[in-house]
Amino acid sequence: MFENLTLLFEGFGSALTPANLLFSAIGVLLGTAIGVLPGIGPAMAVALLLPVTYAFDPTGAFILFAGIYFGAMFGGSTTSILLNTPGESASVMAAIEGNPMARSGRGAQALAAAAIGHFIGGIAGAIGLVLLAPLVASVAVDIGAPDFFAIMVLAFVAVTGVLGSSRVRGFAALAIGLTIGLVGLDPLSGQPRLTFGIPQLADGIDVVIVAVGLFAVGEALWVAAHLRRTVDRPIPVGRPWLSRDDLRRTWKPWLRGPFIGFTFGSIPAGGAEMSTFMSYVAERRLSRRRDEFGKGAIEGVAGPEAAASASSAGTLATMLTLGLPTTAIAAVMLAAFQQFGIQPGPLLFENEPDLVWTLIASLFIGLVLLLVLNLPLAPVWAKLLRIPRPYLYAGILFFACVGAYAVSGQPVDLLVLLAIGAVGFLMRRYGLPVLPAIIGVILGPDAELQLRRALQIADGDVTTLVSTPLSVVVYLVIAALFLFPLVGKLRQRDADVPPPPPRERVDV
Amino acid sequence: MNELTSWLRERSELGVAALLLAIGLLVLADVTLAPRSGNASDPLGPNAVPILLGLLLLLLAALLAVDVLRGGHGEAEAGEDIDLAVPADKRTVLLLAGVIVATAALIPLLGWPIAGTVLFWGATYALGSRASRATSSSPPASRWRRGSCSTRCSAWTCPADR
Repeated sequence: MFENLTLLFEGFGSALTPANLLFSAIGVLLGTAIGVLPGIGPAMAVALLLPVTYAFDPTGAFILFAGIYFGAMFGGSTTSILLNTPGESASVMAAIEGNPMARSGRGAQALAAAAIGHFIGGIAGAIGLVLLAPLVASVAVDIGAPDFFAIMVLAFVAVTGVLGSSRVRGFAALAIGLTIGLVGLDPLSGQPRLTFGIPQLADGIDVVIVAVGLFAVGEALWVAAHLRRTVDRPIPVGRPWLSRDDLRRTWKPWLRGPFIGFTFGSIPAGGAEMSTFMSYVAERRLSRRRDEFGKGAIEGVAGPEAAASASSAGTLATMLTLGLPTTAIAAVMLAAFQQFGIQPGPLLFENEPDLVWTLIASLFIGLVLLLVLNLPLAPVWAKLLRIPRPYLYAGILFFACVGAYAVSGQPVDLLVLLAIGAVGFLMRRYGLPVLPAIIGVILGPDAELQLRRALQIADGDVTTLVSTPLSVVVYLVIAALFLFPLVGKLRQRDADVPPPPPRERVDV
Repeated sequence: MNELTSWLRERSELGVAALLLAIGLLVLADVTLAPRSGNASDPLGPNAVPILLGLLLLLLAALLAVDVLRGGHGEAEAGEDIDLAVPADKRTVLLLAGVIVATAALIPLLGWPIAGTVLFWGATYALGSRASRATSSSPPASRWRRGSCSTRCSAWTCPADR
């Protein structure tokens, strides 16, 4: 424990160097802007930045990414409160309570409750990360190939089966992702698969091109097909502040939210959307002014927003300790780790202590910067919404092409990018979720490797896959995930009361 | 004939099932026509996973087709700048795709700086080119509130409603 504190202080030491401080500042500025802007989310932003950050050292790149991640949470709530259009899917709850507040003249209080909630949630989440992540990592050091394979299968099933409104479509998206991940040389035997004799495909389709294609090009094309031509004006508000009465109502939600958020953020069950939803439901149930909910209850802003930021920290915890992405942005960050040749997972804390602890320390610094940036300046950020949409989406396409071209320097890659963008377009058109696809691309090859490695070690004995307690537990959880909705369906038939499943919306 | 086309148009999602079927057949063809050689130390070999994936794709294609024929619908993704009430603007999408293809063709001829400029301005033109450019601004509509959720959060079931 004390050892970890020492490491954390060392992390602060290197996070406070001018270069890393600059990365953090750029990250939170970019993140806030991205959170405010429609159509562009943190996962897309990190994907677009992947080629640029090759030139940086990994620590700086991840400080930047973390800043974007948390900044987008802050910025997202600003738009949902002032405009009723959630910049991120995680801030839907802020729109439900915050926008009515803004329309009844309490926008300043809503903004303050959201920003301080994000700050408290983020700090609590980061503390959770400091306390729990090394613990999980030290336990997970002993887990072997069968366990890793089981955990990856869990990730596949959880992101596809639990959330989406349709499982067939979720698994279809996953299968498309797995197929894209299969293209290239088989890592164990070195033979080409699905390359059809095309030499450019032998290295596989670069994950940057896949991520940029699915998130940026797919989204830009989809928006282009249905571009809203009327533009809403944000509600003007003054500087955010809270009265004593507001504080009395918000401090408990601020403290409750992070627990819900961190927990749901760290398991593959919906990331920030699920966290904010659960926190909202909890606050509504606990509130004595339940009748105000839906009409502008400040508790409904404070709790979910604190949960949102804490869930980001929980997501980071799972990504760093197990190498398991639970949200789209974590998946893209995992791809970034792979590009730098770093394998996130239990050994990361041993192999790269500098990187991990500097990253964690930078979360604290970034959150302070974000509070300073957002609390007084939220109305200024809202001005970003005036950007003409043709320029915004043309800019996204421009940076997508720059990124794809920078990967290999071959114009052909722009055509691959367009093809994957077309897949992303079709997925959005026909309700196939994007998250399973990107997780399939990034985790698929790894899962195959772990499966074959496990069977190698066991000389082809299939029972090795369920030979450890952890793997058995994980497969039981997977079975439960499959059976649970069936039970719900049966009950639904009896009671005829449909349980409302939160709809998955992927941050892009 | 007209009946058939309108029947198909309503079920255009069958195309997704067809796509899954095609990908599945492609994966299976790739691995069965020329099986990769394994070695003794790798019991599973390089063929097993592609075969499983191919079969999974075929299964999903069938399940999706059944779902669509029974009246299932994938829900188009909503978003802040997305107005699902207007019909899809195919012209803009095709123009944008054309701009990207043109950029890929122009890079070897003119270099990235000029091709990139063409890309940005071409995309801006394509996105801003629609005739019905409304300038009026609607009031901050209560899109996420009860009663008016039809387009944006129909599957969401607003918590405000409960």
